[in-house]
Amino acid sequence: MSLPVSPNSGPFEPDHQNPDRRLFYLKSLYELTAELSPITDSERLLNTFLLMVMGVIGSASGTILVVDRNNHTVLQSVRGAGPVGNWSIDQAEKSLYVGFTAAETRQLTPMSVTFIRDPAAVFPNAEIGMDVHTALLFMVDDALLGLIHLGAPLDTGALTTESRELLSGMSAGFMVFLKNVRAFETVQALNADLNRINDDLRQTIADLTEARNQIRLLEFARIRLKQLVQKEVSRVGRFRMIDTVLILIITTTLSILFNFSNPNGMPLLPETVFRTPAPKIDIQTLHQRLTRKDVILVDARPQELFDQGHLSDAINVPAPLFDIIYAMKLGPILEPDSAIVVYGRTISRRYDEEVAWSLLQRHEKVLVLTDGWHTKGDRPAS
Amino acid sequence: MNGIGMLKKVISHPVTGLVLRVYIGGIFIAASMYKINYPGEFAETIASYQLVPYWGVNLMALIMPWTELLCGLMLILGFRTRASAVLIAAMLVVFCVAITVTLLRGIPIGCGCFTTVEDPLSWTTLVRDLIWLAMSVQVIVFPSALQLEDRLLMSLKEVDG
Repeated sequence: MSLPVSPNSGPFEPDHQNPDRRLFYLKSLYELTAELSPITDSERLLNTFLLMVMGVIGSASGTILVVDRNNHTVLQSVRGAGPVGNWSIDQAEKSLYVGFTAAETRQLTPMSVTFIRDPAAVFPNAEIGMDVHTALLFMVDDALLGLIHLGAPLDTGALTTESRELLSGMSAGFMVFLKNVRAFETVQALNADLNRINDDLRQTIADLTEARNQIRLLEFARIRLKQLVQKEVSRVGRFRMIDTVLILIITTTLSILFNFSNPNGMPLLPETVFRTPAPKIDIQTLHQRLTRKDVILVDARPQELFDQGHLSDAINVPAPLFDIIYAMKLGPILEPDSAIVVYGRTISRRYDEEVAWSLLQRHEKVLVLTDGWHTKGDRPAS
Repeated sequence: MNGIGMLKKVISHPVTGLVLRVYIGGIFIAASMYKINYPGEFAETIASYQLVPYWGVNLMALIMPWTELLCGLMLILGFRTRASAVLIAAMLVVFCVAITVTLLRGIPIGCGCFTTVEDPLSWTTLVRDLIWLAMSVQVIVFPSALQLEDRLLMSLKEVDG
């Protein structure tokens, strides 16, 4: 790599007579390389380089300004100068332009450095924050350029040729390190970007996996639903015992509920189930008492059954017509001591108990025939 | 096509099923109305047949008219047609058995099918119930037109895709 160094000009003088100083310069170059080589951070690189340059030259103040045109960023390091604030990209570009116009070498190539003529005039104190004694313009590549401003050395007012060469050499070395650090930072940024992309990719894969599981679940649900629908389709129109059972349950519920609100409703079980049965009389005893004629026989069945056949001398008193018949037929013939024997029951109705219960409300001697003709196929015996 | 084939076709035709369905359903709805309002009178009718145990007469008098009503409605609507027709056919079988037994026993009672005041039971009553039973069997065996379930079936088939 060639390092174009501007020819001697201005206050700079050659220094061939001082080998110790040359040794010091070489040692400085060595130390610069040793100091900068482990640095991987641009800002720290700038700070370290500026400190070393200021130390070698003997300046109490200095600044470095680096413009990254690709990223539109400005890096700066300031030592011993007044407050100047952060440089904007436009300010930095303007300063670079001013530097170019005053550069000793008009055509800068990549990795080259040049001194700027009359730096104090080009970069006034108000702009840089210090009195600029020496200024260098360097170009790492087309997109990375920078300026180095140094205050006056403490020992002497002019830089020797060796000092200028040393400054150029240190700047050249700095540019190499700066280029490497920027490349490293670019790699790091790319790595970070890659990691972010990887994270995004992992998240995408996780989302896809979850979506696949959901799709699998939905597919399972769809198949199950389809099976259920097919099963229901096959069932519709067919006879099923469960349907008849359901209908019966519904009708039973409806009928019982309606019966409670129906003014013509009736008890679910016959009242005779819950009543105390009337005293009983068997057929032999009844025959004896009939011969003594101290008993009145009542047939409690409906008239059509009574008409089919009944015991001799029995009076038909159906329960629904009890009040009328009692008043018209039964009441007038009853003696206070008369016993009433009621008979007539079927498998479906205990007519005798119903009429006997009504009679017991008015008479004490009411008996119900326990067995006899009605046990033999409900046929009258006489 | 011979006469028997034509008869089979007419009997199994869905329109025949629809007509019989509506007819039987209407009869049972009409039969249930009076009995639902006056269960006590219907209980006396059931008791007069002397077939049901005395503790079950009232329950039967309450439940049977509602079963007739619901089955009749479902027959007309065409919803769970076969189950309703089976229940109606079962009731008709019970009626036929009860009428036959009562006629053979010579018990002079009315049918009680629609109201409590009716002509006495006769073999004509039995024949009428047997005809209704045959109609119910047709509804059970053969498909009928304009059923609510058919609409449901079509919807399910659309879902099935």
